[in-house]
Amino acid sequence: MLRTYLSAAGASVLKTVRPAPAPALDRIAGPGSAARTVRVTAEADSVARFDRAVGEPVRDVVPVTWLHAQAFGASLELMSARDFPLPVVGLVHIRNTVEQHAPVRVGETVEATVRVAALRTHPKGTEVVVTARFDVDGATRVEETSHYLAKGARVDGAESHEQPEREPFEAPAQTLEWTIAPRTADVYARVSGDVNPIHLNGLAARAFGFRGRIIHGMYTAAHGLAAAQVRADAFTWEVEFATPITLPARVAAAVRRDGAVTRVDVWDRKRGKPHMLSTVTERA
Amino acid sequence: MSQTPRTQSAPTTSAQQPPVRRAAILGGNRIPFARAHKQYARASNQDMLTSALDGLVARYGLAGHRMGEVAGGAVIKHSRDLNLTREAVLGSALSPETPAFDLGQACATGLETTVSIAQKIRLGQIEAGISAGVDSASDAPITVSEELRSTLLELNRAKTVPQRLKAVAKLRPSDLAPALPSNGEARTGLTMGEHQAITTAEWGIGREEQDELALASHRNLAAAWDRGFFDDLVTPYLGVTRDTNMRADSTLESLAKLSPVFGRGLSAEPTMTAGNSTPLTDGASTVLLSSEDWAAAQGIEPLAYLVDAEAAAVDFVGGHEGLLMAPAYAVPRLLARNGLTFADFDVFEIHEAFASTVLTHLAAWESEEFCRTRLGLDAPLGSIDRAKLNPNGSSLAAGHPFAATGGRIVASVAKHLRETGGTRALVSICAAGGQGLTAIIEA
Repeated sequence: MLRTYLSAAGASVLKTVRPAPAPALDRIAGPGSAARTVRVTAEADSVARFDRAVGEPVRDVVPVTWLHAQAFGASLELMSARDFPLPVVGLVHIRNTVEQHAPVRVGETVEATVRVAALRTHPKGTEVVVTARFDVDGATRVEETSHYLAKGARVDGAESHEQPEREPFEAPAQTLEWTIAPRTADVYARVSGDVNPIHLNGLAARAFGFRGRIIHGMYTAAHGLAAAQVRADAFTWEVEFATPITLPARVAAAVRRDGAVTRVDVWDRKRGKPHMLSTVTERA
Repeated sequence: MSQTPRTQSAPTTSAQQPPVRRAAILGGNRIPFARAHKQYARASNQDMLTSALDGLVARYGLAGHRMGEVAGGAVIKHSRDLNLTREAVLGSALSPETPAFDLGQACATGLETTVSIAQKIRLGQIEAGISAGVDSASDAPITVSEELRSTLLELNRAKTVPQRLKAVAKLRPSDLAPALPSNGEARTGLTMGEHQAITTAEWGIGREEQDELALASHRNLAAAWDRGFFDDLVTPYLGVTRDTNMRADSTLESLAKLSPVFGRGLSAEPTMTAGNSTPLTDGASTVLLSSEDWAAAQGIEPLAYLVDAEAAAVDFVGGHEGLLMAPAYAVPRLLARNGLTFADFDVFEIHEAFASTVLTHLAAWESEEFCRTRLGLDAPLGSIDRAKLNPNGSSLAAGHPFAATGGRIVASVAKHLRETGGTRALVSICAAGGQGLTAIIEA
């Protein structure tokens, strides 16, 4: 994975220096694009380490956030391919949606199919939509859509897309307080395999314009999903990443349950700015 | 409360059901409570519990006596103290044939041990028992970081040198720092004070009324000490003869000078200070309970009887209720089951985790809306006469060694009923985890 990041960094430099020839976009993104598949068995040990790192109880059900981590390497490879029109380093994870039809259980072998579903316009640049489908024995258990933003980048032929207006954030009553140490990023990098230097090294993070190391967005999301304590077999989980969390951090959070819908929001108490907004909708 | 024995009940395989008996509170003994990291800094939970037990043994002539059972517990506990109470019994003057067990319900531990021993007496399983609780905030267990712990365990499981190296390679210098027990709630990460600050703001409990409650606690406790109320309830320990947190000379002015320590990040004016919140405290308490027959045989006149208890819990994680609000739900259920109202009580012992905890409970019971929407009652539960509230001081003055608070309250209130000729007392203790335990004690 580190190698992918390094070669991706190299490729990114090349792409900025020498723009690639206009690529055939339908070969890179969309239903006709090349997909990558990953087969992975949910080993009890690997799942348990992940559970403990993000605060999930160690149990037989595999958290969808573990599945995300298994497919992440493949999506990174797709986005750092030679003909991919955007530099992968610097892509920001802005949104993530997961649809779980039935849980994956420890010991099961999952086939993940990862594809760049779309490149589309965004007011701040270009948005990359990556989908991952997780099948067990040919039946789809979980589907995920991840949205990444390449700030300031324009790609000719990108699908035009209007972003929905985000409602202004009003902090709810705080019910949780999270202390996130830099070590948390080390541990999450180890259990998820996401060794992006912006999470692990202060200098690297500053080189990319952050104030310091930032926690993995998917850690925050996974920790929030754990706090939501969803026990339904089927659910939809929507996450929006607003601003990154610089480490070390103490952030405010709230879990609000209303029937089948549980909201988990994380924000900066002093500035009143949101870090992550999420909703879990349980389905019967 | 009387109950008819079911002598002619339906056929059953077991022998005849014995009648439920009364569980008498005969007395208690505690060590003076001391602020953390002071006089008891080098005493362990087991040391303090053993001393409190021995004081009780001496007072009631129980040396060498085999008690039915001793129930005890501590909230902050070393992992080696798996048999804390039994070890304390073995170190005490009680017969080594006295069985013991530990239980835990956070700050309600000391009351839950009392309820547990009382129920065994009521059912005829034991004749006499001791309930106890202890906590040291000074001699706290220090643990290693989660990273170091899991690495050491992995190292222990590793069979080959490469496996061992791989395990150790993950360690970072920061992992070697020791970890102290946190007073944060496990699921929310907020400290108890921050949780209560949210509830305090929601209920609009003011700074002055909190300081007034704290002042009353110190004055009542000091007056009780001065008139000798605690002479047969407390045994000096390590040179300490009175609760060290007590400030008899406290004034509203001195309390008003303290800066708020909780709720400073909230939009409401912060009101909770070190003066109207309980400090970390070390201490231990015990209560002697028995059947009426056993008490008569020993020539001990019971002080009072433990009649009934009710626990409640609230969903504070989902933000639906404040962390320490559970007693507000337990009390009405307890009253309803026993067909009682506030007017039937001569004294109310409401544990002062924070002054505002007591005040929010009182406000909740006076609130028509809370009683209707949250408790499902037609009318508010009503007000409590402040003269009947914590008449001998409570945790704000005495301090709060978590598991020892229940025993302090039960023994004191039983003696208070006896002294004043009162008939009935309500005891209420809030606890971490959104829990609360309440009980009725009758003369």
